[in-house]
Amino acid sequence: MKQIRKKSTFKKIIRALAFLSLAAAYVIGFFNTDRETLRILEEKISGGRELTKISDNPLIYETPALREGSFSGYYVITGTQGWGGPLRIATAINKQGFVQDVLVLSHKETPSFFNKLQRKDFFIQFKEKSIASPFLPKETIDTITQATISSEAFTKAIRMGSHSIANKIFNLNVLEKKPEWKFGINEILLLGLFLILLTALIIKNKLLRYFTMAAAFVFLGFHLNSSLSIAHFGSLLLGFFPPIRIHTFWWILVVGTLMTAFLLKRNLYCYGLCPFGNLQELNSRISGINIRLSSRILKITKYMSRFLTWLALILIFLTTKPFMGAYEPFPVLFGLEGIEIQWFILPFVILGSFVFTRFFCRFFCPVGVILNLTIKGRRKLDKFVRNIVKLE
Amino acid sequence: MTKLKYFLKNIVGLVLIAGTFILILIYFYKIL
Repeated sequence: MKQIRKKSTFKKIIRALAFLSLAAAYVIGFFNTDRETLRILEEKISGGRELTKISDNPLIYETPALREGSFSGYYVITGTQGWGGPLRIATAINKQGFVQDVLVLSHKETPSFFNKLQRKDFFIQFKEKSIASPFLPKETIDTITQATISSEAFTKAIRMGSHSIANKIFNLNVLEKKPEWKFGINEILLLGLFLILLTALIIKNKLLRYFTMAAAFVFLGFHLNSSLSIAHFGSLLLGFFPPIRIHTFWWILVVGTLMTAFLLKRNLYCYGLCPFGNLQELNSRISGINIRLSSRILKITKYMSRFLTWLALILIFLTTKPFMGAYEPFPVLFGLEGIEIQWFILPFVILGSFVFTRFFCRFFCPVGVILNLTIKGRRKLDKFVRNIVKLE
Repeated sequence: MTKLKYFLKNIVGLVLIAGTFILILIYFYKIL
């Protein structure tokens, strides 16, 4: 009895320490960001150039030519929300009203997404475009596949800056079109998958579940490479909310998953939407093996995914970069993008999924941890409300 | 034989779990 009480006190202490350290990391990260942005801003823009501030909102600097034929014009600083968080750019515009360069001052996009933009010359297409151009993604600007949200966010920031210069300096009357709700085939398919899976769960239909799993594997995995990641929850916790009108898909996926977990007390995403989870389930079905570990090993592995989730969140909060915590191998498999070490993690996980049912989900996945904690939180809330009602 | 099989399976499982865990820790170290 005494030993059980001791264990439960120890657990409580560990839990309190985990939450305290997360709160501390959040505060430290919050104060770090402002300094960093300011420093990069000065470093990238000046470079020996004389800069005269001519507007505060948005920030516009005028710069004369350093020598004959070199750039003279304006730098306009604008920012918006990207896939991973806020991004800030400086658009260089010449005296004739054409975009000359785009400098990325800061961003929190996943490196693989950002590298894709650079590799596919995304920023180069803006050069020599008139400041009055509509800069519309997929119409006048080419977006990059599997980095669509980042492409659209950068385009928006450039458009905001260019149109500000057009109106403020060149006295043109360029109207900013209010973005339309982006509710297309992808959003409808995602909602459809949620509904079909929910039906499969309620009526306990295995076939319907397998159908959703296969569809999610192709659609969320290979087609969009949009698996839910700890980076999404990191963005939410840091308050980086992408505009809902443009990033409707993000909201359905992230907030929709969290809401279904909280309201229905069911982890729908892990049940059949996660493309990586679905692949692992398929692998273990193919092999027919599920190793039963000894209780000693199980004891050690029990808290592993929680520990990794905590570590990832600490990193995300300290750096205020959600992608820093994304250790999941999903983007490596579905987008063939990732840093070297992730290429070593993937074969281990794939191999593991042949001998354990849902190997990564069971021992390592931070998404499952967060969704299950949400459900646990909801159950505790229900209990708390019930107790209050009883007392009254 | 069954005991040996169980033991070997546990070893394979442990190697896979520990290997992945260490690789994830290296990922955190590298990304910093």
